[in-house]
Amino acid sequence: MTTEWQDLEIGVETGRFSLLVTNEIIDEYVDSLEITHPWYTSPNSPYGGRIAPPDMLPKLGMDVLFQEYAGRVVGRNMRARQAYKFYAPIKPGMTVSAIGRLTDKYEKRGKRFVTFEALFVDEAGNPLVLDMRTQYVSQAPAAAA
Amino acid sequence: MRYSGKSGIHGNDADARQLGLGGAIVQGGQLAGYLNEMLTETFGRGYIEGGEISMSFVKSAKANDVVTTHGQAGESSVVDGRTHVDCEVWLENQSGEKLVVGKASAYID
Repeated sequence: MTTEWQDLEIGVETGRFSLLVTNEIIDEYVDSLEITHPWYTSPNSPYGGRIAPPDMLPKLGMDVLFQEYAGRVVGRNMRARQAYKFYAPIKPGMTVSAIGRLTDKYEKRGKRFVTFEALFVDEAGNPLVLDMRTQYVSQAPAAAA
Repeated sequence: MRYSGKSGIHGNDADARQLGLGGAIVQGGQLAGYLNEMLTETFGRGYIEGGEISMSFVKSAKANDVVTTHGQAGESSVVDGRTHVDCEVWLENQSGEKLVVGKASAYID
Protein backbone atom coordinates (compact mmCIF):
# COMPACT_ATOMS: atom_id res chain seq x y z
CA MET A 1 0.00 0.00 0.00
CA THR A 2 1.50 3.34 -1.04
CA THR A 3 0.88 6.60 0.72
CA GLU A 4 0.08 9.76 -1.16
CA TRP A 5 2.22 12.78 -0.30
CA GLN A 6 -0.68 14.62 1.27
CA ASP A 7 -1.48 11.64 3.48
CA LEU A 8 1.97 11.38 5.04
CA GLU A 9 1.31 11.81 8.75
CA ILE A 10 3.60 14.13 10.66
CA GLY A 11 4.55 12.64 13.99
CA VAL A 12 4.06 9.04 12.92
CA GLU A 13 6.48 6.52 14.38
CA THR A 14 8.80 5.21 11.70
CA GLY A 15 10.82 2.63 13.59
CA ARG A 16 12.42 1.53 16.84
CA PHE A 17 16.03 0.68 17.59
CA SER A 18 17.81 -0.94 20.48
CA LEU A 19 21.43 -1.99 20.81
CA LEU A 20 23.88 -3.29 23.37
CA VAL A 21 27.07 -1.37 22.57
CA THR A 22 30.08 -3.68 22.54
CA ASN A 23 33.76 -3.27 21.83
CA GLU A 24 33.32 -5.43 18.76
CA ILE A 25 30.66 -3.13 17.34
CA ILE A 26 32.87 -0.10 17.91
CA ASP A 27 35.85 -1.92 16.36
CA GLU A 28 33.91 -2.78 13.23
CA TYR A 29 32.55 0.74 12.88
CA VAL A 30 35.84 2.60 13.26
CA ASP A 31 37.64 0.07 11.07
CA SER A 32 35.14 0.37 8.22
CA LEU A 33 35.34 4.16 8.25
CA GLU A 34 39.09 4.21 8.92
CA ILE A 35 38.59 6.40 11.98
CA THR A 36 41.67 6.52 14.17
CA HIS A 37 40.95 8.90 17.06
CA PRO A 38 42.49 7.29 20.18
CA TRP A 39 39.35 7.84 22.25
CA TYR A 40 37.58 5.37 19.90
CA THR A 41 40.41 2.90 19.41
CA SER A 42 41.96 2.66 22.85
CA PRO A 43 41.04 3.03 26.53
CA ASN A 44 42.79 6.40 26.57
CA SER A 45 39.90 8.79 26.83
CA PRO A 46 38.90 11.15 29.65
CA TYR A 47 35.89 8.90 30.29
CA GLY A 48 37.67 6.04 32.00
CA GLY A 49 37.80 3.85 28.88
CA ARG A 50 37.11 3.95 25.18
CA ILE A 51 34.02 5.56 23.77
CA ALA A 52 32.26 5.18 20.44
CA PRO A 53 32.25 7.88 17.76
CA PRO A 54 29.34 10.15 18.68
CA ASP A 55 27.55 9.55 15.37
CA MET A 56 27.88 5.76 15.44
CA LEU A 57 24.40 5.14 16.83
CA PRO A 58 22.58 7.16 14.14
CA LYS A 59 24.53 5.30 11.48
CA LEU A 60 23.74 1.88 12.93
CA GLY A 61 20.11 2.70 13.55
CA MET A 62 19.17 4.58 10.40
CA ASP A 63 17.78 1.65 8.42
CA VAL A 64 15.47 0.46 11.20
CA LEU A 65 14.52 3.95 12.36
CA PHE A 66 13.97 5.72 9.04
CA GLN A 67 15.06 4.09 5.82
CA GLU A 68 12.82 1.05 5.82
CA TYR A 69 9.81 3.31 6.35
CA ALA A 70 11.03 5.87 3.84
CA GLY A 71 11.61 3.33 1.11
CA ARG A 72 8.27 1.63 1.69
CA VAL A 73 6.05 4.65 2.32
CA VAL A 74 7.76 7.76 1.00
CA GLY A 75 9.80 6.56 -1.96
CA ARG A 76 13.39 6.60 -3.10
CA ASN A 77 15.31 9.23 -1.21
CA MET A 78 18.74 10.73 -0.66
CA ARG A 79 20.20 12.57 2.29
CA ALA A 80 19.90 16.32 1.82
CA ARG A 81 20.66 17.59 5.30
CA GLN A 82 21.91 16.10 8.53
CA ALA A 83 22.07 17.50 12.04
CA TYR A 84 23.25 16.01 15.30
CA LYS A 85 23.29 17.13 18.88
CA PHE A 86 25.58 15.22 21.21
CA TYR A 87 24.81 15.02 24.90
CA ALA A 88 27.04 12.37 26.46
CA PRO A 89 29.65 9.76 25.50
CA ILE A 90 28.59 6.35 24.25
CA LYS A 91 30.39 3.61 26.12
CA PRO A 92 30.76 -0.16 25.68
CA GLY A 93 28.25 -1.97 27.86
CA MET A 94 25.51 0.60 27.38
CA THR A 95 22.12 -0.51 26.12
CA VAL A 96 20.75 2.28 23.98
CA SER A 97 17.40 2.79 22.32
CA ALA A 98 15.60 5.23 20.06
CA ILE A 99 12.25 5.82 18.39
CA GLY A 100 12.18 7.38 14.94
CA ARG A 101 9.47 9.76 13.79
CA LEU A 102 8.54 11.65 10.66
CA THR A 103 8.65 15.26 11.82
CA ASP A 104 8.18 17.32 8.66
CA LYS A 105 7.40 17.22 4.98
CA TYR A 106 7.70 20.10 2.55
CA GLU A 107 8.19 21.10 -1.04
CA LYS A 108 10.86 23.51 -2.14
CA ARG A 109 11.65 24.59 -5.69
CA GLY A 110 9.56 21.76 -7.03
CA LYS A 111 11.28 19.09 -4.92
CA ARG A 112 9.89 17.15 -1.99
CA PHE A 113 11.67 16.66 1.31
CA VAL A 114 10.89 14.73 4.47
CA THR A 115 12.51 15.12 7.87
CA PHE A 116 13.02 12.41 10.44
CA GLU A 117 14.16 12.60 14.02
CA ALA A 118 15.28 10.18 16.72
CA LEU A 119 16.69 10.69 20.19
CA PHE A 120 19.05 7.94 21.34
CA VAL A 121 18.97 7.36 25.10
CA ASP A 122 20.67 5.07 27.59
CA GLU A 123 19.00 2.59 29.93
CA ALA A 124 18.01 5.36 32.32
CA GLY A 125 16.55 7.51 29.55
CA ASN A 126 19.42 9.97 29.56
CA PRO A 127 19.94 11.56 26.14
CA LEU A 128 22.99 10.56 24.15
CA VAL A 129 22.50 11.74 20.55
CA LEU A 130 19.73 13.58 18.71
CA ASP A 131 19.60 12.66 15.04
CA MET A 132 17.70 14.97 12.68
CA ARG A 133 17.89 14.21 8.96
CA THR A 134 16.17 15.55 5.88
CA GLN A 135 15.83 13.37 2.83
CA TYR A 136 15.16 14.50 -0.72
CA VAL A 137 12.42 12.32 -2.19
CA SER A 138 13.67 11.44 -5.65
CA GLN A 139 11.05 8.94 -6.66
CA ALA A 140 7.65 7.93 -5.32
CA PRO A 141 7.27 4.32 -4.15
CA ALA A 142 6.11 1.85 -6.79
CA ALA A 143 2.45 0.81 -6.62
CA ALA A 144 1.84 -2.47 -4.78
CA ALA A 145 1.44 -5.47 -7.07
CA MET B 1 32.75 2.75 0.80
CA ARG B 2 33.01 -0.80 2.10
CA TYR B 3 30.55 0.09 4.85
CA SER B 4 27.79 0.61 2.30
CA GLY B 5 27.20 -2.93 1.12
CA LYS B 6 26.61 -3.99 -2.45
CA SER B 7 23.19 -2.58 -3.27
CA GLY B 8 21.52 0.79 -3.50
CA ILE B 9 23.04 4.08 -4.53
CA HIS B 10 25.94 3.59 -2.15
CA GLY B 11 27.02 0.14 -3.22
CA ASN B 12 25.80 -0.37 -6.77
CA ASP B 13 26.61 1.76 -9.82
CA ALA B 14 23.47 0.73 -11.72
CA ASP B 15 21.20 1.63 -8.81
CA ALA B 16 22.88 5.01 -8.55
CA ARG B 17 22.56 5.73 -12.27
CA GLN B 18 18.80 5.16 -12.04
CA LEU B 19 18.70 8.28 -9.88
CA GLY B 20 20.80 10.31 -12.27
CA LEU B 21 24.05 9.78 -10.43
CA GLY B 22 27.19 8.92 -12.34
CA GLY B 23 27.81 5.88 -10.18
CA ALA B 24 27.72 4.71 -6.60
CA ILE B 25 28.26 7.51 -4.12
CA VAL B 26 29.68 7.65 -0.64
CA GLN B 27 27.13 7.69 2.18
CA GLY B 28 26.40 11.07 3.64
CA GLY B 29 26.80 9.60 7.08
CA GLN B 30 30.37 8.61 6.27
CA LEU B 31 31.23 12.17 5.24
CA ALA B 32 29.51 13.48 8.36
CA GLY B 33 31.66 11.10 10.38
CA TYR B 34 34.83 12.73 9.12
CA LEU B 35 33.59 16.17 10.14
CA ASN B 36 32.60 14.83 13.55
CA GLU B 37 36.04 13.29 13.97
CA MET B 38 37.68 16.65 13.17
CA LEU B 39 35.47 18.42 15.72
CA THR B 40 36.17 15.79 18.38
CA GLU B 41 39.90 16.18 17.78
CA THR B 42 39.58 19.95 18.04
CA PHE B 43 37.22 20.33 20.99
CA GLY B 44 37.34 16.96 22.76
CA ARG B 45 34.83 16.76 25.60
CA GLY B 46 33.43 20.12 24.54
CA TYR B 47 32.06 18.43 21.43
CA ILE B 48 31.16 15.02 22.88
CA GLU B 49 29.14 16.74 25.62
CA GLY B 50 27.06 19.50 24.08
CA GLY B 51 28.40 19.73 20.54
CA GLU B 52 26.08 20.28 17.60
CA ILE B 53 26.44 20.14 13.85
CA SER B 54 24.11 20.82 10.95
CA MET B 55 25.17 20.20 7.38
CA SER B 56 23.97 20.06 3.79
CA PHE B 57 25.19 17.61 1.19
CA VAL B 58 25.82 19.69 -1.91
CA LYS B 59 27.85 17.37 -4.09
CA SER B 60 28.46 13.63 -4.04
CA ALA B 61 31.70 11.89 -3.18
CA LYS B 62 32.68 8.78 -5.10
CA ALA B 63 35.13 5.94 -4.59
CA ASN B 64 38.77 7.04 -4.86
CA ASP B 65 37.93 10.67 -4.08
CA VAL B 66 40.27 12.23 -1.57
CA VAL B 67 38.32 14.36 0.88
CA THR B 68 39.53 16.81 3.47
CA THR B 69 37.68 18.39 6.33
CA HIS B 70 37.88 22.08 7.19
CA GLY B 71 36.66 24.29 9.99
CA GLN B 72 36.73 27.96 10.83
CA ALA B 73 35.93 29.19 14.32
CA GLY B 74 33.64 32.18 14.57
CA GLU B 75 31.94 33.95 17.42
CA SER B 76 32.22 32.76 20.97
CA SER B 77 30.01 33.35 23.97
CA VAL B 78 29.56 32.14 27.52
CA VAL B 79 26.74 29.64 28.05
CA ASP B 80 26.08 28.25 31.53
CA GLY B 81 29.58 29.27 32.54
CA ARG B 82 31.21 27.51 29.58
CA THR B 83 32.83 29.15 26.56
CA HIS B 84 30.74 28.26 23.49
CA VAL B 85 32.15 28.57 19.97
CA ASP B 86 30.34 28.62 16.65
CA CYS B 87 32.13 27.29 13.58
CA GLU B 88 31.77 26.97 9.86
CA VAL B 89 32.66 23.49 8.67
CA TRP B 90 32.99 21.96 5.26
CA LEU B 91 34.44 19.01 3.39
CA GLU B 92 36.18 19.25 0.02
CA ASN B 93 37.29 16.77 -2.60
CA GLN B 94 40.67 16.66 -4.30
CA SER B 95 39.54 19.34 -6.79
CA GLY B 96 38.66 21.78 -4.05
CA GLU B 97 34.94 21.35 -4.63
CA LYS B 98 32.82 21.58 -1.52
CA LEU B 99 30.84 18.42 -0.94
CA VAL B 100 29.41 19.14 2.50
CA VAL B 101 28.87 22.55 4.11
CA GLY B 102 27.54 23.33 7.52
CA LYS B 103 27.76 24.87 10.94
CA ALA B 104 28.92 23.38 14.19
CA SER B 105 29.27 24.47 17.75
CA ALA B 106 31.12 23.20 20.78
CA TYR B 107 32.36 24.18 24.19
CA ILE B 108 35.90 24.93 25.17
CA ASP B 109 36.48 23.18 28.47
